[in-house]
Amino acid sequence: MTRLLNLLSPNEMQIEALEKLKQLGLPTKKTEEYRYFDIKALMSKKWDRYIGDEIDIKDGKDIIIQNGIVISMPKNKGITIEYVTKADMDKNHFDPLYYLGYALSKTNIKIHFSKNCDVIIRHIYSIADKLIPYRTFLYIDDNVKADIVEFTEDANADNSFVCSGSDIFVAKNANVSLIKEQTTRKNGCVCISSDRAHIKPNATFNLHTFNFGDGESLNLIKAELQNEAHINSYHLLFAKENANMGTVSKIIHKGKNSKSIQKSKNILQDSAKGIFDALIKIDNQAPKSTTNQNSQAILLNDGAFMASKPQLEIYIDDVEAGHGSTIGELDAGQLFYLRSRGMEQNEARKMLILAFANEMIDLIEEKDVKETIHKSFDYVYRNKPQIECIATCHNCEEIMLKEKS
Amino acid sequence: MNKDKKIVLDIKNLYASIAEKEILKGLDLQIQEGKVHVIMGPNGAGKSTLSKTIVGHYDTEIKSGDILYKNENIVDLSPEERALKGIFMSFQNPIEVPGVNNAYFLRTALNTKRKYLGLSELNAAQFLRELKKLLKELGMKPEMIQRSLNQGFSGGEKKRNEILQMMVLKPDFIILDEIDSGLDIDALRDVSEGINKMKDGKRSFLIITHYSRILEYIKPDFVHVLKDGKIIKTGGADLVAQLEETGYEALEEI
Ligand SMILES: Nc1ncnc2c1ncn2[C@@H]1O[C@H](COP(=O)(O)OP(=O)(O)OP(=O)(O)O)[C@@H](O)[C@H]1O
Ligand SMILES: [Mg+2]
Repeated sequence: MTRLLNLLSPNEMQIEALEKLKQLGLPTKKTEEYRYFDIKALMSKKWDRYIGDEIDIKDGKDIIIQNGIVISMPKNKGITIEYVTKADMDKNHFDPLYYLGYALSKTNIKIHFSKNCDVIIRHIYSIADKLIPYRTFLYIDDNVKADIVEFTEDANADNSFVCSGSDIFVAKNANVSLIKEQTTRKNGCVCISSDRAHIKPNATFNLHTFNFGDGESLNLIKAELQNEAHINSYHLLFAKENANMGTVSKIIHKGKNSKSIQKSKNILQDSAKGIFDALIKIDNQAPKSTTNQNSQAILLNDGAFMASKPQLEIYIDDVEAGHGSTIGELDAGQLFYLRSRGMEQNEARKMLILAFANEMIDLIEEKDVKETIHKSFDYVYRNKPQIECIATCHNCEEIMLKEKS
Repeated sequence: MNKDKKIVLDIKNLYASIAEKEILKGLDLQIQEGKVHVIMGPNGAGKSTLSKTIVGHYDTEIKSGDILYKNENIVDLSPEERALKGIFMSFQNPIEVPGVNNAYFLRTALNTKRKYLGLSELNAAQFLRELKKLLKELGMKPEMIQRSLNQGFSGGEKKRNEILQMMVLKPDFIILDEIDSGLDIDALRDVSEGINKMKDGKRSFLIITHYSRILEYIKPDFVHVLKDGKIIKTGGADLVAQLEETGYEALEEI
């Protein structure tokens, strides 16, 4: 990895990132944030960096970013995209890979939202055995409501390492929802996404992350809340076989009356390892703030492991805080209830696992997106998407119930 | 055997414990096909333990004795096998299952049973058409089936939902553990009518209750008194009035 850091003619931003990276050091097994992740294997590999050439951006329904290069975007949605070499990098991020991404990518993708809109960003990875570094900036203007969905698609990027992430600027009174779905597979690409969200006064940021599969992925998030700002941060993980995945986050309340809710649900199967290492910090400039943090994990069998570490640090009296963490098996009473109605034990277990996950997926308002995520979950969970009605698809009921009898 | 005395459930000298505490202490009970049996008895006597033992709840452990259902010993069968063979219990306290859509649950349960019986599965539309009729009969709001199973349901709504499951699954032997507790007057009537509609001369009922009110709607054929882990008295419908007058204390053990 260090070999890669001998950059030819780095720009100002890269120099700054390298400097920060030097201070933090490349992560090792001992680095707090990567304690439970197999970082050593990743860092010791001889990587080839992939930097693609910018091409003309086509008009398309979604924003498509392939191997770090923008392929298409929707015109007339109030969205502008440009490559920038200078942007507002966080001076104080906890994650070394945040800076590694900046150090290794010469240009960064800046996406600007100037009016209300909803958009899907598809990140496609299609080259094998490469390190793919790139950073995105999401700027959301004052008073704008933006619903952004990020799907990640591993198109034969076997054994690649994607070092990416976004800096998200949620301006005053803006309302942003960011849904990130990532399914990683064994021997596919490893995805480490290091984000930072800056949430201005009176703004709301809803973050939903979904990490599924038998591969490796990690979300690292740093979020700062100013006066009256809100963050709702939800994380669902389903990991199987030898998967290694999770969320490492730091949410910092910097302004008064700020509010945070963080919930994580984790399902671990086979010998998969899940991580939820999340700190919520309420600064002394943030009186009357409220926070609630909760993590639940279900271990489906003996070899599965969950590292759950929700933490609160509070530096002022006048706040409201709640927090909890449970790791366990499926509820015996619920299991019996289903079986007493004739469902075979395995079927009953499946239904409860789906239910556990559905609670997180159903928080998504947009129907198509919700369906897509239900399907990706199902795909990983049952090795096939379920074509038939699923537990929470209420469409047919609604239609039937409206029908005149 | 006498033709009009076919036994659907035959419990012989049953000893069962919960958490190593002996609750059922040599209980004998016979349920006749097509009949309504009522069990009454003081709090803590073991009525719910009996029903849980019949359906194979994990809390209960049979120490000795047999439970024959349709002439087959079921003590070693899984709860789902017992259910598929036609045994149904409505829970005294139905559990909440967040995230499991009520309609989806009902349809899965019904299709599991249909598959077991060698019938074709119903698709969502076919199923919902049937379900809609039942909802109406039970005076249940259609929204109830779009919600998570029992989650946030009021006490009475939970009870109605148990009856809905009974009506969907059409079991042969039905145990109703305090189905009448917590029901308002209208709900009691709707639920009782639902139960009465299920009576077909073959289906048998075991109704556990503390109140005679529900028995004004559903006429019992037999009334049993369960006290201290045993059936201590069996009689006809008139036993209810007698119990209301004297209470359980006055009953002499046989
Ligand atoms: N899970 C349990 N652990 C320990 N004791 C239990 C458990 N469940 C029931 N018991 C005990 O078993 C005894 C019988 O309880 P059961 O619920 O069968 O009574 P019941 O006749 O149904 O009473 P009620 O009329 O109040 O419903 C009681 O003393 C009760 O405390
Ligand atoms: Mg009871």
